[in-house]
Amino acid sequence: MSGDPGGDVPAALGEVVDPELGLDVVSLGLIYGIERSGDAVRVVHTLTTPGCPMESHITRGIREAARSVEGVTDVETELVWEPRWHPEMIADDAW
Amino acid sequence: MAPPFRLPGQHFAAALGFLALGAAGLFVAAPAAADGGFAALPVVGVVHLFTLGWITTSIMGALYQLLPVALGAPIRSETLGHAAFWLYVPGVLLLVGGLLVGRTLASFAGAAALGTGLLVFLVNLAATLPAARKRDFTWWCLAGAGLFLLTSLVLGVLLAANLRWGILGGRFLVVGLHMHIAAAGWVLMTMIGVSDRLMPMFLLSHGAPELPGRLAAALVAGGVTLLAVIHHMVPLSWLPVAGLLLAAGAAAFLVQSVLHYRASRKPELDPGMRLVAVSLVLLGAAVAMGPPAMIRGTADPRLAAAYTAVLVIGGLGLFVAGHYYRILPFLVWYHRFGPVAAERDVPRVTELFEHHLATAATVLLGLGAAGITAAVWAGAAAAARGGALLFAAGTGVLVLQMWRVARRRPAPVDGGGTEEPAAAGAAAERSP
Repeated sequence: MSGDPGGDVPAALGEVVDPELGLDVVSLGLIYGIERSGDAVRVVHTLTTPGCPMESHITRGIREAARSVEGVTDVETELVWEPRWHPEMIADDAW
Repeated sequence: MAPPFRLPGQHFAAALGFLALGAAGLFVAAPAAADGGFAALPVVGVVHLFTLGWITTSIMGALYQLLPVALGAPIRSETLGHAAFWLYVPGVLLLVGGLLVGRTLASFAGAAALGTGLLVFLVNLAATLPAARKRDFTWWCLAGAGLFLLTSLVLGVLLAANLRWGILGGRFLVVGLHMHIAAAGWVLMTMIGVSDRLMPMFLLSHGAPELPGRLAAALVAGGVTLLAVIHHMVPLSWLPVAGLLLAAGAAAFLVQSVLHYRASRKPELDPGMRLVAVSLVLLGAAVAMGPPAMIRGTADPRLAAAYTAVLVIGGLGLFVAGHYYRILPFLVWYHRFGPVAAERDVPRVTELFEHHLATAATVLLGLGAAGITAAVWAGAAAAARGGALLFAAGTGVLVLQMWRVARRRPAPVDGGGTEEPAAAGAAAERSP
């Protein structure tokens, strides 16, 4: 993860679960970057496949989880497709 | 891009109804098949319950759900989709009912209705494909599958005319051409195309080699094209070449599937993909039985019937059944649980059905399909009925599970629990 992950944002994102795979987005390796600047957080993330119909659910979950962190009032998410997600990005102890 | 709910949902409901009817019909028709009566009307009726009713209705519903994901393009017209459905489903019922009671007029009326429904579906599909985000491998497979569905529809009409007026000559040949163009050109080609997108998603097998899948599509397309023109434009001596191309294409698809299963990063297979694995084993058996069945033809009608059973019921039918454990729970979760997931605890997609029951269904369906095949080939009518009974039991478990999944929905906020079954007769959700 790039930038200042600061605060409890990564831990909060760890509560956002992909409802199909049953793993959280951090363990899945979907979070590419977290930047925190004061009360603003920017999360760069991807999905397991382009056109994933869970996009709105996962993105909303990321926003709400980040916003639940104390001191965070402004959350911006960016969905990227590079580098392309790969199952090797899943944390070894995820399952 | 959100998949619609009602359109695929009504297809899945109808398809599961056809599966239940087919399983019951199998129990009735199994002795006739074991006696070598592969062309007996009950057998033909049951085959069409599976091919048109179960498999094709399922594929149409699944495509309405898949197209937004795989191609980035939702179906062009949901209205046309509903129109196709209401022509097609009653048409299949009329066709099969007419076959079972020997009413030719009813069969022709049913064929006309379902044929019109298929044409409306194909027009809708053809209008959708140009809007795809990109023309990738899945796109080309679906385009080819649509073309071959049209071909098998035309040949089906010719086959019906041939039965009445004998315009095409050998009945076994025409039946064989029709069956293989439909099974390989429409169903297998669709399986190859969607598996290229779905298997990596379902198995977490991204990065597995893809060449066998490409080869499978090319071989199947070549074989089906040759079959489609073989009756009038190509000497019949080319028939074995077409057959070998199809067998090689199916084998290449099996190799591709094995590569995906081996590359899976999941700690264990989910119930749906276990049932798909069973279907692939049975498809492998069909690939092995196909060439001798076609070569011996009417000289060995039990082999022809057994081959049809393992291909249609096992290889293709159970492949579709396995995907129900993935696509229907997802659809229900997406439309009912997803919108409230941020506000309260909701089950995961895979928690919408009971896994031990799914495992029981897999065992029953797999043993049933294999048992029917072996018993029909051996000419053992009682054993064929036993296999059909196992298959019917597995079907019952599958249909019951899907029925329960379709009824699940979150509880009201003040309900205290996490969810409750859907109220009977609740209005179907529409796309968000």
